[in-house]
Formats: sequence, C-alpha cells, structure tokens
Amino acid sequence: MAVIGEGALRLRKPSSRRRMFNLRSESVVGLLFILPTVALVGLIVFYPILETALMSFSKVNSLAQRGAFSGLANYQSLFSDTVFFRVVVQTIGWTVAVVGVTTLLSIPVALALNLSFPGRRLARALLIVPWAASLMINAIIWRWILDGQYSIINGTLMRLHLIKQPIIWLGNERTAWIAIIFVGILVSIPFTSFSLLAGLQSISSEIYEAAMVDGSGFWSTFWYITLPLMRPVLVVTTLLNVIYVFNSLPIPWVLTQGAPAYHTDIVVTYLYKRAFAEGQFGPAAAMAMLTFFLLLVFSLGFSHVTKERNKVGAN
Amino acid sequence: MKSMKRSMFDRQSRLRRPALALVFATAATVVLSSLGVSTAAASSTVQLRFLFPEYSAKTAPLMKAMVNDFNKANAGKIKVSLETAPWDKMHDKLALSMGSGQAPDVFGYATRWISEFAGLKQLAPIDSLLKPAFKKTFNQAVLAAGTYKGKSYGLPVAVSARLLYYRTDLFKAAGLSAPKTWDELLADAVKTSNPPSVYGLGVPASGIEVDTFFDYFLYNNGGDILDANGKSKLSSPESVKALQFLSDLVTAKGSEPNPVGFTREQIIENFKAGQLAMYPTGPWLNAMIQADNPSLQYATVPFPTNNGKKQQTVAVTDSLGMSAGGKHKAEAWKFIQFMYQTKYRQLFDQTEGMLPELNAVIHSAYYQTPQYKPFVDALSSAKFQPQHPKFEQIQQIITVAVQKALSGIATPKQALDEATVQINKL
Repeated sequence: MAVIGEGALRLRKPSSRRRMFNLRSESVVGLLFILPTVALVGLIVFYPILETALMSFSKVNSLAQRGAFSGLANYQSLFSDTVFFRVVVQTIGWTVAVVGVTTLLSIPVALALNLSFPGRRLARALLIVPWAASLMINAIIWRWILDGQYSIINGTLMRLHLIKQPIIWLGNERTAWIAIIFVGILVSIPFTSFSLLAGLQSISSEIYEAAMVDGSGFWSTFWYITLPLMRPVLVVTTLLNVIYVFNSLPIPWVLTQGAPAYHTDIVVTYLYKRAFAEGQFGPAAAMAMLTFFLLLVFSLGFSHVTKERNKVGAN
Repeated sequence: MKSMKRSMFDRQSRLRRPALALVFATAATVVLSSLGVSTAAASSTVQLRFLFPEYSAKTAPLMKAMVNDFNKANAGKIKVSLETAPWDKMHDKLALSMGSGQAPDVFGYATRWISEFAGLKQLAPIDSLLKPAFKKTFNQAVLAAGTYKGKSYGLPVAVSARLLYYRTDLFKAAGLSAPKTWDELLADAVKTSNPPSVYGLGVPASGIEVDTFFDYFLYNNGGDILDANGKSKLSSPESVKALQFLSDLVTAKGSEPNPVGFTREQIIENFKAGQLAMYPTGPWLNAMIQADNPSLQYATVPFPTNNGKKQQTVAVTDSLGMSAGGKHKAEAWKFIQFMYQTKYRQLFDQTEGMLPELNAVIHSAYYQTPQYKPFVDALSSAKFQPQHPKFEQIQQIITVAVQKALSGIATPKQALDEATVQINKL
C-alpha cells in the first residue's frame, strides 16, 4: 500500500537531515504566526515601559518631553521626599490589609460554594457581579454610598437612632481608610473565592472519604487536608492579589483622591498626581520603576519561599 | 488517486503551514499599517484645527454653529475643524499635542498656564496682530490678564469674578444683614448654621479649586500667594491670619463638618438644594439655580474684607491663543476676529453664565440686570491669579496646606510655612 502525502515524503529523506529541515521550517512557521501579536504587544506594552524607564533617568518637562539624561537625579529626589516614604508605608498597609482579609474571608466563601445547596447557582452568579462591573463603577457607586450628605448608610444609621449627626466617611483620615480598605476587600473577594473554589474542586472526594473513615473531624480535615492541598492556589491568588491591589488606582482615587494632604494616597495615586496634576514626569517615572522592581522582587521572593519541595515516594 | 491539481494549501502540501502563516502575517501587517495611514487631502483650502474646552453641555453646539458660519463665509479658502474636550482633560490634551508637535492652531486654555506654555515657546505672541481698534473693544483690566513678561499671549475668552452668594430668607429670619467684615462673616455663619439641615458657609476642601477658595480669604486680608520677586508670600502674617480665620470658622461649626470630604461640585449642589446659607463663587451659579431651584431666595455681595482692608475680587480668566508652531497664523487670526464679534460673544457669555470681556456686551441690558450687575462692577477690583510657570504645582501645594490646616494635621502657620519652603524650591 503506497503511503501518500507528508508521511511518504518524509520517509524518503535521510534521518538526520530530515530532522534538521523540519525543525527549521517549524520554527520559521511558528515565528511568522506569532509575529503580528508580538509586534502589537511590543508596541502597546513594552514600548511604554521602556519609555517610562528612560524618563526615570532623564529630565522631563511638563509636556512630557524627554530631555537630557540626568542619571539618578529623579530617584534621589524621591529619597528626600518625606511624602513618598509615608505613601509607601500607606500602600504596604493597604495591600496587607486588603489581601489578608480578602484571603481569610474567601476561604469560607469558597468552602460554602463548594457544597451543594438550593440557590447555589444564584449565589455564584451574584458573587460575580462586583467582579464583572469595572473597578471604576464599583468605586463610583461606593463614593455615593459613603457621601457626607447623601449617604444611604448614614440615613439608615440615623433612622435606627444609632447616630445623631451624619458621619462624613470620606472626610477624615481614619474613616476614609476604613472605607477604602472595605471597598478594596469587597471587589477582591469574587476573584479570590472563585480561584479558591476551582482549587477546591480539584481535590478528589476520595481523600475526604478516606479522612472520614479515619475519624477526622471538620477542623482536622480542613487544617491537615484541605488547606495543604489548596496551597498552590492560595499562593497564586495571593501573588496576583498583591500585584493587583498594590497598583490599584480606581478605588483610592475615586473615593478620596488622596485627601487630606496625601494621607490617603497610595504610590500609584501619588505618582499620578505628580505626573499629571503637577507636570513632574521624571520623579513620577522613577516611582513607577521603583514599584515595578518592588513587585518583581516580591514575586520572585514569594514564589521561591512557597515553592513546594517535591517529596519522593508514594507515601 | 488524488487529483493532480495541487495547490500550496492542500492538506498534504508540505508548504501548507508556511503558506498560511505568510498569508496571515501579510494580512495582519497590511491591516495594522492601514490603520495608521492618514492620507493628507491635497487641496488649496487652508485647514485650521480649533480646540475648545467644554464649559457645559451647551458649549460644543454653540461653538459648532459659530465655526459653521465662519466656514460658510470663507468657503474654499479656510476650513476650521472643531474639537472640544472637558476641562479636566484640557491640560493633558494640550501638553500631549504640544509635546508631539501637533498643537492645534487655535485653542482655549486656562490663563494660569500662560507662563508654562509661553516658557516652553508654544504660544504665539499676539501684540503685532492686536490692532488698536480691535483692542479697544475689550475691557482693559480683563485683557491685561493674558500678558506674560510684557507680551500678550491670549485674548480673554471666559471671565469670572467671584462674589459671596447668601440666602436672603435665612438671613432675614435670623435678623442678619449681608456680611461686610470678617467678624460679621463668622457670626453670620455660626448663627445660620442649623445642623444637619442647614450649614453656614460652604467650605470645599477636596478636589479642584481648593486653592481658589482660600484666595477669597487670602486676598481680602491683604495677603498674597507670591511677592514681587516670585517668592512665596504665604508665610506673611496676613496670609497666615487668613488660613487661621478659615480654620477657626470651621472649628466654630460655621461650616459643614469635615470640609475635606466635600468637593466644589458637591458644595454647589448643596447650596442649590438650600442646605447652605453662604457660598462664594462665580456668576454661573445664577444660571444653575434658575434651572434647578428657581424658588431659592438669594443675593450676591462682594466678599467681606478683614479690618477695612482693600476689597479684592477673585477673578479668573481663560484665554484663547494661537500655537507658536502654527503654519497659518494670518488665517487663524482672521478666525479669531470672527469669533469675537459681539453677537457670538454675547451668546456664549449668556449661555455659559460667564462675565463679558467685550465692552459692548458689558453694557448690554442682560448684564445690567441685578443678577449680573454686581459681578460686572466687581471687575474693577479684580485680582487675577499670579503668573508662574509651575503654577499647577503651587496650586497643589496650597491645597495640601489648606487640607492640613482644616483636618488638624498641622496648624495654619506650620502648614503655610511648609508650603512656602516647597514653593520657593520650585
């Protein structure tokens, strides 16, 4: 029986030359296929990063035109900026609070959604809503829920006679931070719970059955079986959340814009103000690069520390 | 047996994958490049680009009608294309277009940006184009606001002067008359306060124009932002007293609580809804009240001064200028003169609630009504914002100082001293 087509052609070539020829044509074909995407991504993602990096080492005028190279001058100006240090501390606090509480709250939510109960589909759909609405929409809605004079929370509390005067939530630093962190947690829960839910569903039920047979109660099962098996998912969601939350502009921006006096700013809102409200693109670019490196170091460090050591053997 | 007709795209062809890849790559490249190609129409008509900021939803149609009239009158010779942008995006838009060498031929901008843009050589001086006959049609005080280092860079296109709006009904009920001094202002603010339904003086300490709000107090106590040498004057005793007074007023519950939680827009809404007894702002509030709450009883007076100091009306102008790199300056100037005909300026000023810069409009019946006459008269004591190339940063610095003082983070003196250090470093 004659073998036709590619197979036939291949059989005719000597083996070593045949392999090299296929490898070359495979990679050329592959390159051509990805060329348009790489070009687009390069233009839209990498070029601005490169431009920002260059700006951080140059003198930039208020029209964002890059001038002469100025070495580390922009970075040095940051180290003498007390506001910058304060803002970095605030950002770390904001990230730890939001990611920490979100993860703690998402675990029971994911566990609950993993059980089957009537209305489970509805519960899951409702949980998706804050995630589906963009961050801006969420922030704007909460901006009005927390407004000094038209706040629905104040109205309710006053009608229940719990407060006498409206609380100006976004007017003083402490309540403003509580509000900002609260909204941050609210919008991060859907993503985290669904990721954890996916992780939970990949745990086979046989393990749970074996545990039940061995007499493991709810907490032991949770602590010694569920959590360790969810570890990879937890690592991934924590890492992603830290990166998203650290750089999350919409919520603090829409709620307070960093008022009063930079006390509710995070790094990204502060650099946005420096760049576009004050026209200081050089220091702003330096801040952006520092954030980039900070998060890069964190990601690498975190992945390394939480890497699962491969255990040898089946037991 | 397979048919002998073979093409590159046959399933069996060794060349199928490379061929398909090449086709896709070429198609993608063609599509992407065609997106960026703009073929310049070859014609002898001069094309002008005109960028104007949106003062309200009515700005764009108003300007469009005027531009259409001009294009019709100059058909075949000059064609103006209009672009509008909201105010909070204007600086970015102009900065970006100037930075890339594509500034519009004619554009509106905030006069406080003159020093920045002129310093970067992006504005065309108009002294040589401003003939005496045309120049005389303007109110000279307002026209002078558009000069920097002795050269004129723009014509006033929107003028506002700020007066104190107050509720005549609330004042009558409390047995008070309009405040003329700061002592009266403080007493009236506290007396008309009836939390939580009414507060005395609206104090916006968040968002834009917080520094302008502080200027009402600063100027009317004889203080100033910059001295004659361009250095900060915010640490002078008069300036510190101004911020101290504002801070005391807030502490004495003469304003809404926690002013840092309120933006200018919110305070304006509150005044319109009848929840504030006093608020200083520009003439547009007249039109807004007329539209949203016509039964509100109010009047306007010049902002109170402290201790008999000279009355200063905070006035802000926006300017219309030409790009220094524009290639058709003569045609651009022709368009500008067309735009400054009395009928167009009257319509613009009335629709947007602005004050007039042309003498003809100032003396028109509309601007001599009780609602507008106080504003127009106040132009003679107008004080404009100082010219400084980094004025946007100065505004931020002042805003931060005011917020610190009003939230108790620092005393007024500390906050203003910090501001002085930062301004002098610019």
